[in-house]
Amino acid sequence: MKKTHYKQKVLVVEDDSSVLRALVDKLTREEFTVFQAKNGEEGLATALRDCPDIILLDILMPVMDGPTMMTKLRKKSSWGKKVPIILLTNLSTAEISVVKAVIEAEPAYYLVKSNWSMTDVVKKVREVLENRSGLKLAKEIQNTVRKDLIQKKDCKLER
Amino acid sequence: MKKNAHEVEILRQTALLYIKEIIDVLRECFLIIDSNLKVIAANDLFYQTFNVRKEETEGQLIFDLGNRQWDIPELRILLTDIIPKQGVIRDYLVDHAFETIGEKIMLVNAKQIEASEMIIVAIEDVTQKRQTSLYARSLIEASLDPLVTISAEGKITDVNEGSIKATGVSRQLLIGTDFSDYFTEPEKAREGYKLVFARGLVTDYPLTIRHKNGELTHVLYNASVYKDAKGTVLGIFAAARDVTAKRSLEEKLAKFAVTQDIKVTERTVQLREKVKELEESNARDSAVLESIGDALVVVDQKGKVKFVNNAFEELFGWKQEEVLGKLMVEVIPREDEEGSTVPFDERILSQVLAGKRNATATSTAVLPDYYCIRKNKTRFLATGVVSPIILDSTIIGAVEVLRDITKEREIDKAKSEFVSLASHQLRTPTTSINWFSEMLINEEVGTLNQKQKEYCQEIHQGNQRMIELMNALLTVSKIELGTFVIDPAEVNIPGIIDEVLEELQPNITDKLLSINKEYSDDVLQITSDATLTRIIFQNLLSNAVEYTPKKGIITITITKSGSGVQIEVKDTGCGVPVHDQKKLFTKFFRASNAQKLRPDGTGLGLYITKSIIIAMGGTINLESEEHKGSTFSVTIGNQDASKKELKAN
Repeated sequence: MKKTHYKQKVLVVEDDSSVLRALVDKLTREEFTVFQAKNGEEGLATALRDCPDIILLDILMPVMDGPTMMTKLRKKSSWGKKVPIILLTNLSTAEISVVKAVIEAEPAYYLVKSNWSMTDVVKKVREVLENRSGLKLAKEIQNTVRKDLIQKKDCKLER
Repeated sequence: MKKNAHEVEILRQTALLYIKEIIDVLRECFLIIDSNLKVIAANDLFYQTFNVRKEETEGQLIFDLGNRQWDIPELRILLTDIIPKQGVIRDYLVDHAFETIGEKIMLVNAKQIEASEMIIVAIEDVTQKRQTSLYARSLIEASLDPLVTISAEGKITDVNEGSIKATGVSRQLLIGTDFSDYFTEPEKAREGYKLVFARGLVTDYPLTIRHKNGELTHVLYNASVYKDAKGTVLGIFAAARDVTAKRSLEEKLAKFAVTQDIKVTERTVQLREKVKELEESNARDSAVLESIGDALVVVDQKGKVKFVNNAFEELFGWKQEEVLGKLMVEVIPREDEEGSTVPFDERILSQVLAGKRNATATSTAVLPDYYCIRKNKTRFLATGVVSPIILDSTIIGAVEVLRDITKEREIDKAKSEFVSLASHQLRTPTTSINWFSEMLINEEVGTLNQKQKEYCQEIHQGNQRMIELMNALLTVSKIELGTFVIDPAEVNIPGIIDEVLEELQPNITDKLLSINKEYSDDVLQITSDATLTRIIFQNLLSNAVEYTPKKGIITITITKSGSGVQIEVKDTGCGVPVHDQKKLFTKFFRASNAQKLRPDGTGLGLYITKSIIIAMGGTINLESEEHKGSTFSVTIGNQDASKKELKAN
């Protein structure tokens, strides 16, 4: 497992400490350099300071929510414009429209936490990182993600 | 005897002489004839009257007189038949046309003188008299009115045809009877003729003649006394004027008037009832309108306010008297979210009045949600309906019902927030349980002994069920709250089925199940909601896999059904007991055998499935036999109902 090559940096922004810990522990074991933040404000600061290769971003958080942080990040730096973001969601009523809007406009993806195994989460992170250079590819993945949205045992919500 | 006979002859001759002397001075024609009907003598008046000479008469048979002109059949009967039998003839009228002197009406009286066997025949020439009388009679007869002559004693002495008709009694029977017998009021009749005797004349005396068949003739009598030359009253001549027709006309008129009166009364009563009904209905309508919690406004065809209810006054702050006759669109301006006013012609009310909206009496146009402006310029979110008022297929106005939905929206929001909270807050802990148990099972943080691993697997599986249950419950809550939105699009049914089967593959492989697909080629694409369609097949197929024992067969058939498809999912599983089949689609219900096989099932899968199918306008049916298998038949994509939303928003 121990390799000396460049460790890819992952920022996890999640207010639930238990979920945060699961992700941080797992990604650390998977040889990522993991940064963590408990809300959007912390997340934005960490991101701008450490410039992670990918951000796992929860949507509903206190102080600053995921979409706000994402918007600010995209505006604040040229790096921030391009960094791939995977929105972590539980597809609640309030989140669905946000998610829809975000994936329409931004190079971002999302996954439904409760329906995804940890193995699949890591797989998705690796996939996005491998394809982050090509926008075309990103679009394809975006479509895959959208298909996932349909496939997973969940249904579309109003508004 | 001979001497006696001689004496008799002398007496006879003497008597005859006397008689001759007598008859000569009488002003009547007399004939004396013997028993052989030969004329013994006649008076001068006879000869004058009948223009016969004495020489041609005496000693001649009476019938031979005047060159046999006197051979009158009636006279023959009188003299040869009646005289020998009765010896007398009284007032017998003989009407005879003589060749020389013309028609004569003769009143014949005759008497046989006993012992002498002579017959004295008195003949009165009543021709003139009779003709006058006949003239009068014909006048009388010609009169249709009942005419009658009455004696001083009140007996009928003569009648005309009119009287016969009116009474139904023949002339013979009428004559000699009491005048008063033929009236409905005999006393009044008697009083009547007494009055005539007393006054000499009575006019328009009303009486009613009763026909023997009961028919009544209403008459007015004009009567006067008639006298002889000396002025002695002989009787009454009474003429009745039949006023039955007039009376009946009058009665009819009266009746008509009464009938009309009754009709008018009835009509009035009906109208009064109608008015009462209308008033009641009006009162009822008013009560209904007033008691309606929603603001209600009635406008005429020009859109001018005719009526508003209490709720309207409360909701908008306008009093009815302030808005009556004003244009509704001006009274209540409407604007959208951003505050721009909705133009008049875009107002549904205007469109309904203009007949632009399907204007049938039953149709109501549902208003889009707009903000309505109150009198005090504040606004609120309103929803409502507009119905045209149609009379004789003309729109004469409209009714608009408006409701403040601010509160509803708040509740709606709260409801959504709860669903959001439930889904988010409950899912978060299951997420950590899911991930941590997964990492433990994968021994990422150290090896576990067999038991530890098994326990962790239990935790993981339990959590998985919790996630599934939560998803199902959320789905149910969305169905029940009506927050499902059906979003129809082209969907590929075999594609969806394949994806679901892929998810179920581990289980299918484990149980060595065979999957048969029998698809019609022409039904690959239908219009349906992809997400919901997926849920349907996830449930049906996972059930089939779950409840079919090892080496079982699952057959999926797709056939065309109208514009949609019929999909059958047939398995060789445990089946559904007959007594459970009816309740199978109800919430939380689980078939008794399924409960034994899988105690952890939620009982929500088929409820959700059916709810979704119904919402999409489809159908689902079950055919099943316990221990042999089940077949679920679903039809979807068959209706325009696809664009339907469970809740209108």
